[in-house]
Amino acid sequence: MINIDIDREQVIKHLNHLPSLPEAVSALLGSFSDTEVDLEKIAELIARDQALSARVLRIANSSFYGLQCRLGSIQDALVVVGFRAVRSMVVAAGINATFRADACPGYDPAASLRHSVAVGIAARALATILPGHNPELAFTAGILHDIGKLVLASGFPAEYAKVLSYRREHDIFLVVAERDIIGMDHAEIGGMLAETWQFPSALREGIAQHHAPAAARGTSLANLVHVADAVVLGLGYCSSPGDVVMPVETSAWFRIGLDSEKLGRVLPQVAAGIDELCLALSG
Amino acid sequence: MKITERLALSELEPGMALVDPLLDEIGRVLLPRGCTLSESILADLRRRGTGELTIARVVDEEVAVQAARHECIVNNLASLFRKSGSGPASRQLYQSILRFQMEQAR
Repeated sequence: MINIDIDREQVIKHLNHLPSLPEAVSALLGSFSDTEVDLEKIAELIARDQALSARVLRIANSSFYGLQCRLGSIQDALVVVGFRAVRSMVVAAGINATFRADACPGYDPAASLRHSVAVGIAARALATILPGHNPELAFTAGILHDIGKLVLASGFPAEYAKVLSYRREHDIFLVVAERDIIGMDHAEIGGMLAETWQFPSALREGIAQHHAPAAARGTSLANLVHVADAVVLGLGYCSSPGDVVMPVETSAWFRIGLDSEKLGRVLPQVAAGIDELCLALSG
Repeated sequence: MKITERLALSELEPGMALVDPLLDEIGRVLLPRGCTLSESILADLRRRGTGELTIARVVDEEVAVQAARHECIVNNLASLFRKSGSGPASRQLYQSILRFQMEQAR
């Protein structure tokens, strides 16, 4: 057993000391529970944050949304792609840019981003053809589902590097290696982060339970994210070399109402647009 | 292009060439290396109940490339799905991705 000086208390302490989120991101996270949204104020908050608005416009102008025209401002984006889509882009871009995880040996930030973007696209594509899901929220949940890995790789790089090498050495699932060594897995830590930053509960569940959807509610986003994650791994978009498809929970598959025919319609959409979105989010 | 493969007697066709000589039980050469199979040789092999033979044959380049690509897809998926278990959802996912990638490769 590898001895590692990291426990639940330390993770909680670390989460409480993370830099605060960009104002626009906090405002948009708050808007999930707020029925009265001041669009003008939100557009102004996003526009004031130049790096964030540049990223959002790059996403909005990527082939992902398939627009005929080029959007030049956040106001344009709100009108053309709509509030929900802009919100999902701001949240995804703003949160991803808050972490720097380039000092953890064995953690590949580019491959991890690629995997997360692919899960976001897959979750959104599945949500558009399956009843009862909000495609934009599914997109955000997909992009952020592995945020716990980002917390670990950026906040505890040396310790997480040991988890990654232990996993490679034993050829086991990453969540198993994480639980063996730090007593928690990245899904749980992602859920804790979601609580700290007051994500809407649907998003928090999607992140926290994506590896244990059977325990989630029948309508939880965790079911959709769990399946989208497996789809993307099956297509080979791995976040690290040892990644394999984990057993797909039958309950999650049936709860979202998926079958081979529907999946066949979604698969071609997943590969398209990944590169552009990665570029937009990492810039 | 020329490929070498090991085929069962039932899959052999006239025009294919033997890569290794065919020997009988005591090591006598029945058919020399490079011998091209004809209808009458095949009939003789069937009478003798010969099993598999390693043969070389010329195939369409496209077909060979396609076969190699398919093998690559199947191997890659076998590796990615090696721990996904045999549950119905994992199986359906595997089948759907296999079908999708095979179509893409065409």
